[in-house]
Amino acid sequence: MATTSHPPDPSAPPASATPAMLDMRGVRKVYRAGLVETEALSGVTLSVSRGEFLAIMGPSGSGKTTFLSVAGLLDDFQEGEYVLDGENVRGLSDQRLSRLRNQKLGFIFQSFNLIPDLDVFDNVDVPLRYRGLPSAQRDRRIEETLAKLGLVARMRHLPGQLSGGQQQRVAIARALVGRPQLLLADEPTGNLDSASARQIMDLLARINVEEGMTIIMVTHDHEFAARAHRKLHILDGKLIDPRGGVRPGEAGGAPLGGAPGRAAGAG
Amino acid sequence: MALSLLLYHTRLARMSLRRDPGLSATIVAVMTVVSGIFSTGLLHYLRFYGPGPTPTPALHHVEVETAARTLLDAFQGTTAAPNAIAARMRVSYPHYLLLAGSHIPARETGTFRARLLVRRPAPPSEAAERSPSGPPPPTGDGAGDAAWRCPRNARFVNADFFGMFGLELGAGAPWTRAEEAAHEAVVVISKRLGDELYPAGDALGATLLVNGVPYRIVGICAAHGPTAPPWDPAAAGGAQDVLYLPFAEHERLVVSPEMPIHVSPRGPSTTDLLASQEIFVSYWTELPTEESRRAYRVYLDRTFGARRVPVVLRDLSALRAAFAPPPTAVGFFMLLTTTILLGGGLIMTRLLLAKGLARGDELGIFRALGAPRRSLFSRQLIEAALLSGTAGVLSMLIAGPQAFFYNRSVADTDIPISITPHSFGITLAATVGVGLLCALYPAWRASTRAPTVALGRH
Repeated sequence: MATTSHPPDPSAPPASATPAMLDMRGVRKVYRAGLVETEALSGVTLSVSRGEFLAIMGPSGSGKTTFLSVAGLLDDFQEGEYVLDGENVRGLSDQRLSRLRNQKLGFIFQSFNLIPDLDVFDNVDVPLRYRGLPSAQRDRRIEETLAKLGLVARMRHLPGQLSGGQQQRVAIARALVGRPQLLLADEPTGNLDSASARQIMDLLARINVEEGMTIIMVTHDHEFAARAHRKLHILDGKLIDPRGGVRPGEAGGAPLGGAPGRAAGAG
Repeated sequence: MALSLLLYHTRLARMSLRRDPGLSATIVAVMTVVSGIFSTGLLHYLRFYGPGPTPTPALHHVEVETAARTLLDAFQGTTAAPNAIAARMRVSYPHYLLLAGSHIPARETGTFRARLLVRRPAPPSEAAERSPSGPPPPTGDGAGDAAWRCPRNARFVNADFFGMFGLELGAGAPWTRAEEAAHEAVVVISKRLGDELYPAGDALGATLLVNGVPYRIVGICAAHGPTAPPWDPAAAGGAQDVLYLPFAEHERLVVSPEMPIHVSPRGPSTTDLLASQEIFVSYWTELPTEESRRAYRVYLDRTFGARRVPVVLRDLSALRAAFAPPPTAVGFFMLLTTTILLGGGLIMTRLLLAKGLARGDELGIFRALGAPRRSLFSRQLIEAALLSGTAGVLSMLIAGPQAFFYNRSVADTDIPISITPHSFGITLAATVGVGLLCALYPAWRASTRAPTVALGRH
């Protein structure tokens, strides 16, 4: 029987023997409003390797924002297990969760979510304030990060004085200044014009390749999603791999995960 | 790191308050008004119950009630002679000279109050016009004409009185024992009298006519009052003492105590006095050590015990318990104004709750970036402290005019209510305390909101 083999994807990071950056098993999230229960995540099982660029797509109300909130430790979950960088986050104290968010995660929001009264420098400074770093070290790191993103000239500008693309770059700088291990981007190009959006996507791709940053991005844009190593769909709180049609956790279906470029059902 | 974060949060708190100036101004305005009302109540309370002169803790009060003859016999052989008038009228009797015989080193003083007429002497030119042929008469119109017509409270004390009761002088010094023994015509005046008769501040060394007799002013009290003098609880709540004269001067001035209490006199003469069955004398003495207290007890027992004369020796705490100022409406007024302050705090709670809801997205961002709940909680307490602290300072704009109009329009005593560093400190602390207390719930609510809810991501 002839076997076929696929050439390695040059854009994919090398397969790693280290534990997955993110490992969810059977995660379930339910919102309760009085007597009404809404299941936002339904038994999500997902493994994301270090250095992987994962795109998640889905219609409004499908649960992609909820997934990102749970992944980003902004929201809790009722069932399942979630291991982030080798640490089980279930049952951790608020103090510990805050520390994990500060040290291991970076957030990029669709509406930038910059603090309007703080200038660019001070906005990027916020996560470092809770690290306990000395002032000189903080300043150095902020300046390096802003230089990398071409924002040194705007250092003392307020967010209201920046364009959308610049504001998003400031948000990216804020997310990166703490040198996180996982970047969570919630429709980072949603509020940008096409040119700025492409710039942002180029930036994210570059960060992923050059720094090996693990990125999970929620997006509506197929073009941008195609730039990721792997693309998943989410529908009614369930993750779906569009290539194999296999749902994670189903009998006979292998859980998604492992090295980028390999997905259940490929063959 | 804690200090660095505290400073950072203080900066963020100030920014947050500036972002919503209307709400911040409303909170400050409400708290300023209620804090000003609280401060006014506090000024009244401090006037009556506040810290005044601090008697030495070694103060002891001696009371002797006996027949006049027994008293005279007790002092037989000593250089101290009981003051007949003082003994008759149930007044304090100083006999520190007796202590020389007992070899107990102690300060001692008696005190009684009388009503005297006080005025400044007429200027020489004016007096010469009225009486060109000789020295100006001791009586006549001079400065402080209104004061001349109204008797003022004068207190006869000994040189040790000021130190024993902690009555501080703002200028000059009390007379000495030597001056007292030499019957120097000296006087210490109150701050009020000094402000009234010597508005230019030139009272020290000036001459004052007391019942027409000239006295040299050697000292001026530093503060008004007190409303409830520890040396005379019966005088609580009335006009303050404006003159302090050496005890023996009551003989020169031929005055009687203001509040005579007869025990069982048979008549006004000395003969009647000596025939009286009971007279009452009291005085204050300072006994700082246990040894001196024991020795003094022995001394009193030896002097009066053999004659079966009851003697009461009380220390300061027993004195305060026995002569506590009577309850007044001031305490109730203080309670009322404190309640008003708390009411303002509840309004602040409501406004802070609304503010917390309005800034949920900002708090959510900080949570997403790794700020723990307690940092957001503390930041909002800092905001509350800034708001209420500002209100506490501004409350003086309310309390000051209220005190001014009260002093001008209400003549309950001649001791004015006034803003002091002490009252300002208490007002500020109380306002900030209420502000922090009332900010606890809003701060907790805002800091425990789920970041996803705060960011509107649910």
